[in-house]
Amino acid sequence: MKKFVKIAWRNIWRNRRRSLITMTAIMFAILITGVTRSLQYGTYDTLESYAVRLMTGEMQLQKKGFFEHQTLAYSFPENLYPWDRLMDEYDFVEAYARRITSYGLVGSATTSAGAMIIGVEPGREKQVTYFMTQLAAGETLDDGDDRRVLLGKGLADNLNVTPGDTVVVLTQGFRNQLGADMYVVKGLIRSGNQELDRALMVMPLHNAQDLFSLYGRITQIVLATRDFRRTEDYASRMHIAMDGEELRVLPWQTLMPELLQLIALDNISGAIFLLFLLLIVGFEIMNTTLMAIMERIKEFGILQSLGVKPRQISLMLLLETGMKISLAVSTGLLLTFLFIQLIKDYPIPLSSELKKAMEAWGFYTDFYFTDRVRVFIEPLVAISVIAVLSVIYPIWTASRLRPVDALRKGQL
Amino acid sequence: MKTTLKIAWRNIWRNPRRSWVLITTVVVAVIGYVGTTSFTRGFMYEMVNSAIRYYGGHIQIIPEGYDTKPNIQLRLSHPDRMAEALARVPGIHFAPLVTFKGMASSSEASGGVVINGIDPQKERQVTIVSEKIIAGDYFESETANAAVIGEELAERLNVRLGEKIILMASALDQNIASGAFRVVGIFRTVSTDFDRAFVFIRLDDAQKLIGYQDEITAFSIHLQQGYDLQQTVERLRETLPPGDFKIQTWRERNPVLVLSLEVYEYFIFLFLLIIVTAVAFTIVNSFLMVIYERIREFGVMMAMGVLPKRIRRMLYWETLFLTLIGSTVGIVLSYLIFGYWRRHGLDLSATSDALGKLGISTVIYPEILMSDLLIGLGVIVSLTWIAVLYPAYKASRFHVVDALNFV
Repeated sequence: MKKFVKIAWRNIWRNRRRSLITMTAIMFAILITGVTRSLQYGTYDTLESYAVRLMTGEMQLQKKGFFEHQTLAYSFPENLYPWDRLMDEYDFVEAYARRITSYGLVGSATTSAGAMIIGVEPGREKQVTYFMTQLAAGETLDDGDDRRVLLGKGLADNLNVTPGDTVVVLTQGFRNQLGADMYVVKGLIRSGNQELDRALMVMPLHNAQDLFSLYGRITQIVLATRDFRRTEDYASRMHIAMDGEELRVLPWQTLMPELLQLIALDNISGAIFLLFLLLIVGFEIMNTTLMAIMERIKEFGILQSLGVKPRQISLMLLLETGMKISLAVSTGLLLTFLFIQLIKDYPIPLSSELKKAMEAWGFYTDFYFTDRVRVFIEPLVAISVIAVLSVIYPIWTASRLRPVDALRKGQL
Repeated sequence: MKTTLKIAWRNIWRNPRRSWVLITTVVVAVIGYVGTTSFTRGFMYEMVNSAIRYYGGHIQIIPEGYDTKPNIQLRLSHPDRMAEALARVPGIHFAPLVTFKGMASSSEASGGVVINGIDPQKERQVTIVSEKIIAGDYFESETANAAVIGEELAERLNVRLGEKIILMASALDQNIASGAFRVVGIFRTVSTDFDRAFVFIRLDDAQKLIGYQDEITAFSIHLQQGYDLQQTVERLRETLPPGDFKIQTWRERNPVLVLSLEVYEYFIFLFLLIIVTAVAFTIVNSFLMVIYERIREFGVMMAMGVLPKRIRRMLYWETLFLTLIGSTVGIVLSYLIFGYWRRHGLDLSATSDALGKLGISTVIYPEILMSDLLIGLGVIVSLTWIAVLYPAYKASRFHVVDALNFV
C-alpha cells in the first residue's frame, strides 16, 4: 500500500505539465464558482437588507391583531417592558425604537391628501431603519424637534408644499377622538419606493401621541438584529409578556411577504446561472482528467505486462487522482479565500450613469462581494463531486485493458 | 497553402477521439453561453411582462397631465373617434379603460382599491388578468354589475364568489358615489399587491358610477410581437386626431422598473464576463493539453523538413476547423434545447420550495437573440484563436531532437 502511495505521488510529478493542467482546471473551477457565489450572495444581501432596513426593520413587536387590522385599538403602553433590557436578555438584539403607525388626512393651503403617519423617536429610529436619512430636500428630524414633520416627496408635490411650509393634519385618534394639529415641514423624503413617498408623513413620537390621543402608548417596537437572515429563528426565541399583555414578535419575513417572493426569484436566476457555469467548468474537468489518463494507456499496458494486476493499477490511479483532486481543491479554496478577502472591502464598480440614475431615485447603494461560509462550501462540494465523478469512467476503463491492445494501439 | 489546409483537415480525423473532446469543449461552451444569455433575456422579459401585461399594456394614451397628477377630471373626451384612428394602426390591440381610486367594502371590512372599468372582450387582447382567474369567470356570464377581484382582496373582505361588495368613489360632481357589485370572478397573479388593490368592473358600469358620459381615462395598447415600440409611438402620433392627450410607453410609466432593469442588466454583464472567462480558460486549457500531446509528431514533421511557420499555420487551421464544427453543433443543439423551452416554457416553481410555498408559478421562456449569439460566437472563435497562439508558438520553437524525445 505504502509503495502505491509513493508511486502515485511520483506519477503526479513525473509529468508535471499534465498534472498541472488538470489541477488548474479544478482550481479555476473552484475559484470562478466561488467568486460568482460571492458576487451573487453579496448583491442579494445588499438588496435584501436594504429593503428590510429601509422602513420595516428586521423585526417588530406588535400587539396581536395590529398586523392584520392596522388600527390604534391594538396599541400598547410604551413602557410595557423595560426595553433597554432586551439588549442584555437577547444577544441578537442590537437596537430598538418605539413607533406609532396610523393614517390621517394632510392638508396644505390648496389641497389635501391621505397619508400614512408615523411617529418616531428620531435618534433611535436611525439605528434601526434608514428611511429618515433619504432626503430629497430640507433636513431630517432630530431628537429635540417639536411639531416638525418629514413628508414623502410625492406627497409634498401633491400638496404643493416645500420645507418651511405648514401643513394641517386631521385624524381619528385612539378612542375615536378627533385629532387636529399644525406642523412645519422640515424635510422631504425620497425613499426610492414611489408608493411610500406618495403617502409618508413622519413626526416625533410625542407629537403623534398627542395627535392620536395615544398618551403613553405606541403601536410597534422596531428592532435591529445581528443577522437579518436569522430573524425567523430569533423571533421564535423571543417572548415578551408583562401585565397580562402579550406581544407578538414578527420577523420581516412575515411583515414583507413580497420581498420573500423576490428573493425566491433571485435565487432561481442565480441557480440557473450557476448551473451553466458548472456545466462549462465541470466539463472541462472531465475532459482534462479523461485525456490525462487516456494519454497513458501504453504505460498501463507496460505495467500489466510487468505483472501489475489491473486492481493494483486502479488503486494507483485512484490514489493519484485522489491526491491531485484534494491538492487542487484545497489550493483552489485558498486562492478563492485570498481573492475574496482582497476585493470584499471594495464596492463593485457601477457605471457613473447608473449611479446617477439610482441616486436620483433615492436608492443608491454600494454592492459588495461577501465572504459568507456558503461561498466556499458550495463550490467545494459541487466541484469535488464533479471531479470524483469524472475520474470513475477512465479508471474503470484503464483497469479493464488487455495488455496487448494497450501496448499496440496506445489508445482506445 | 492548400496542402496545409488539407493536412489540417486530415489531422482532425486522424485522431477522432481527441478532436471530439476539443469539439465538445467548444460545444459545451456555446451551449453554456447561449443558455445563460437566453435565460437572462427570458427573466428580463418576464419582469417587463408582469409590469405591462397585467395592467396598461405597452403603450397608453392618457389625458395631458394625467401622468403627473392623476384625477378623474382629466379624461379623453371622444374615445370613439380615437378608436377609429387606432384601428388603422397595424400591429396593435387596444382597449378602453376608466380608472379611479376608491374603496371596496363588504359587511365585514373595507379597503382602498383601484377601480378599473374595462371592455372584457378587448381587454383580453391587451392584458392577461383574464388568464389568471382561479374561481368564476371573466365577465362571461350576463350578471349585471359584475366585479372581478383579486384573491387577496376577497380574503380581506371575506367575500366569496356570488357575494356582493360595495364600491365607493368620488364622482365627477365631487359627490361620493357608490354601487353594489356582485363578485363573478377571482384572480390570482404573481403579485399580492396587485391582487389586493385592483378591482375590475365593466366599462359602462364604471362610467355610470363616477358620472362619465362616453369618456374614458385611457386607451391601453398591446404591441404584437415584431413591432417596434418607438415606431409605433410615431405612427400613433401621426394617426390620432389632435387633442389633449399624451402617448406614454411602459418605460415612461415605470421609470423605477426601467432603472432596475438597467441595474439588472449591468449585473448580467458582470456574470457574462465570468462565463466568458470560464469559456476562455476551458478552451486554452484543453488546447494546451492536446498540443503538448503532439509535440513528438511535430518533431517528426520538422525532422522531415517542414518549416516551423507551416506547423503553426497548420495548427491555426486545425483550430479554426474545430471551433467552426463545435460552434455549429453547439448552435444547433442550443436551438433544439432552448428552442423547446422557448415554445413550451420552463416552469421553475417545481425547482424551488419557496416559490411553491408562495404559490407562484414562474414560467420562463428563454429568448435567443441573434445579437447575443453573434457576440458569443465572435468571442469564442477569437478566444480559441488566441488560446492556440501560445502553444502553437511553443510547439514550433522546439528543437527537433527535443521534440522527438518529448514525453
